[in-house]
Amino acid sequence: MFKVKQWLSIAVVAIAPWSARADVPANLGQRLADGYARPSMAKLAEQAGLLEQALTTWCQSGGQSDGKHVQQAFAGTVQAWAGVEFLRFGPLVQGNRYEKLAFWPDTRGVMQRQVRAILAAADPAVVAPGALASRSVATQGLPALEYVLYGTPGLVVSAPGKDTSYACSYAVAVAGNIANVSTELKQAWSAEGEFGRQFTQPSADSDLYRSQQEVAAEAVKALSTGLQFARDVKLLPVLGESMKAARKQRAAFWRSGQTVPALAASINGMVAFYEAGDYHYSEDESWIGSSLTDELHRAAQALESLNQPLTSLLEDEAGWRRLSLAGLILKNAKDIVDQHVAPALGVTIGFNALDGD
Amino acid sequence: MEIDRRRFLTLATLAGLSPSVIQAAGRGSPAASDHPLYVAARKADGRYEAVVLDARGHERQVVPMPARGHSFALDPARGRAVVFGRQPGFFAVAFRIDGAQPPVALEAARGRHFFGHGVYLPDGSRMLATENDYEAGRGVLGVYDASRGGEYRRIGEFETGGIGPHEVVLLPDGKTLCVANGGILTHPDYGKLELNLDTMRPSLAYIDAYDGRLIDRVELSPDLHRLSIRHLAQASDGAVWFGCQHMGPASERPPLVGKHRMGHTPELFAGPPEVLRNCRNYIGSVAADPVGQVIATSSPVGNQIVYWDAATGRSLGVTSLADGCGVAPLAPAKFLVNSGMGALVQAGPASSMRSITAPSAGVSWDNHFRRL
Repeated sequence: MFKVKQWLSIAVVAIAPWSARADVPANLGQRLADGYARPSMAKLAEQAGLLEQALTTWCQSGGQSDGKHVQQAFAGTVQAWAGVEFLRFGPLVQGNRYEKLAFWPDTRGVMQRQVRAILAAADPAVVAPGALASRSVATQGLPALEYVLYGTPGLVVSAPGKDTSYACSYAVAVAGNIANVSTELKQAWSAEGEFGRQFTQPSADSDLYRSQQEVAAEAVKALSTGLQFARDVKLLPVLGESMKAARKQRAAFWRSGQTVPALAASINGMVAFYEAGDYHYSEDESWIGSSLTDELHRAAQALESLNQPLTSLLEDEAGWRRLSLAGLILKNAKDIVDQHVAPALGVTIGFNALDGD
Repeated sequence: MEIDRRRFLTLATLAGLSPSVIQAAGRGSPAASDHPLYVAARKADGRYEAVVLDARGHERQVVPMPARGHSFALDPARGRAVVFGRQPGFFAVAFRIDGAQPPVALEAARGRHFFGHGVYLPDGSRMLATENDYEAGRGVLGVYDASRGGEYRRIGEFETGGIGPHEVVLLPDGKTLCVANGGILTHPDYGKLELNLDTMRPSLAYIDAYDGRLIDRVELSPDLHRLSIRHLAQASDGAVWFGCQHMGPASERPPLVGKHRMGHTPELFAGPPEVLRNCRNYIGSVAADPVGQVIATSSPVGNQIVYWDAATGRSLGVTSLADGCGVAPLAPAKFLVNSGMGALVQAGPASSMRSITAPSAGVSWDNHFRRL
């Protein structure tokens, strides 16, 4: 049997990474969980539950009313999702939960193809309670639900008349699945959940997080990646290199008009997640925290002030420029995280480590 | 449209750059085994470059690149190499090791981008590169005419039998390619974002280098479907060693290193739990020592290089190096290692690490370090 200790002592010459210049709070995991992750996961579960109820009631009435409740509940769920999607570690990456909730971006149009096939086949087994969970992830989440509500057949936007009872049953099934997955997330993050325990109580004999330093590394990585995702995946492909090259249909949640509100919600979530950490810097670096939150507030406000539909924003020079500006601010914010927050907290983001290959 | 623009930028940028050849003793024998030469890509003072250097870190040639490079196709017999852009790479640069002729820019074919790795065939007739047919989400090997006067024209492509082919190596028979199909679907509009984590199916594919026939294809067990097979090296016994990156949750800790021989079942090696944990589910580069008996696998995320006995799969030791990634053969059980922090060191399982070039703020070496 090989001895680990002896094994480790061979040829170890550590080139020490930067040492921390800010204090990682002794209860960082607890702060991030209680101050942000747990309430945000609870919010998502709650919103998804409301959405399922609203859809059930609406479908039972034969979709006669104007569907406003459904639309509001859908928007609320998308915004709650935006508040947790950047916590892309732990429970959200287990069991394909991220993809189940939001299979996006979908460069090959998998969701549309599969949802159309489900609607065409109208198989009652697919919409039986719990059945969707074992189907393709592309048919289980928010993009699929958005497609049937706002796209084809467009349950809440098209004139009544067609028989949409199966599509409505499918929408209820998707909402139910979203509620189930969200509840799993909430439970996994809770004090009783395995992950919730490990994240809030790092210890030397824990398998996942051994110290608050490792929790800080997870938090910084989530922020950095979340900011990159917001800009490089959600914003830039939509904007294109010029107004002429803008492509609305690449936007997340464009059918429901939730693209910009969701992006703002996501940025607000990242600010709150950062603030929940209550990081303290040395005196000469005290500017780091405030300049990061300032930038993020600025980006969120810039987006929140755009109360036009995405299409008209992209066709309007001023609108396009303001969206581009939000992208620029997001880049600044990410640079602050990578170049200042990370080293101050003793987290190394290497040349080869950050952007794997 | 977007792609055309990218191409244009790439070529225009390259045209404005010229390589610098550093005059050095022994330049006449680039591939002489007593003075082996190495190649690596790096970022230095904001510029992207491919560098030819010797084992003491002396630079022989610096080839400018328009963007970040990755790995190389090598043709030591004819003193040639091609450096590929890091994925999604839309350019490659073919150059002579001795710098005797100006480098030549290659552009990715329409609808394709480079993944960063490639090989020459031993007779120098062809060069093959791993590429993404990104609208179809299909892995291919681009086939290029590397013969005299061929000007690296792309003369066709072979399917790799999987998504996201990364490293490719040529087996000792000189005609069979082994491709690591990483299984990760990406699209250049979204950078390296993984688009199919739920349905990944990584594989090793053996392909006839001359006609593209798929000879064999193996997958790991279904519970390891998120273990992306990415980097390859060959041991003296003919086994292909591979290094993986696990795309599942950090709480899962599958073995990251393995070996395979065609017709057999792949074997995986975990090493001691503590060392496996420190690899952080990420192997960035794999190399065999010059006699093919010790394998080095690097984890830049975990700041360590791990060594393995090629015959038994026993782990032999570890070297700690911050952001250490590029590993290249130096001597039996000895490797050259470089890092994203600019360090160049000599290391191995039985020897303490020796610094050749100290870390430098302005220099970041990319993942791969290759010996000619």
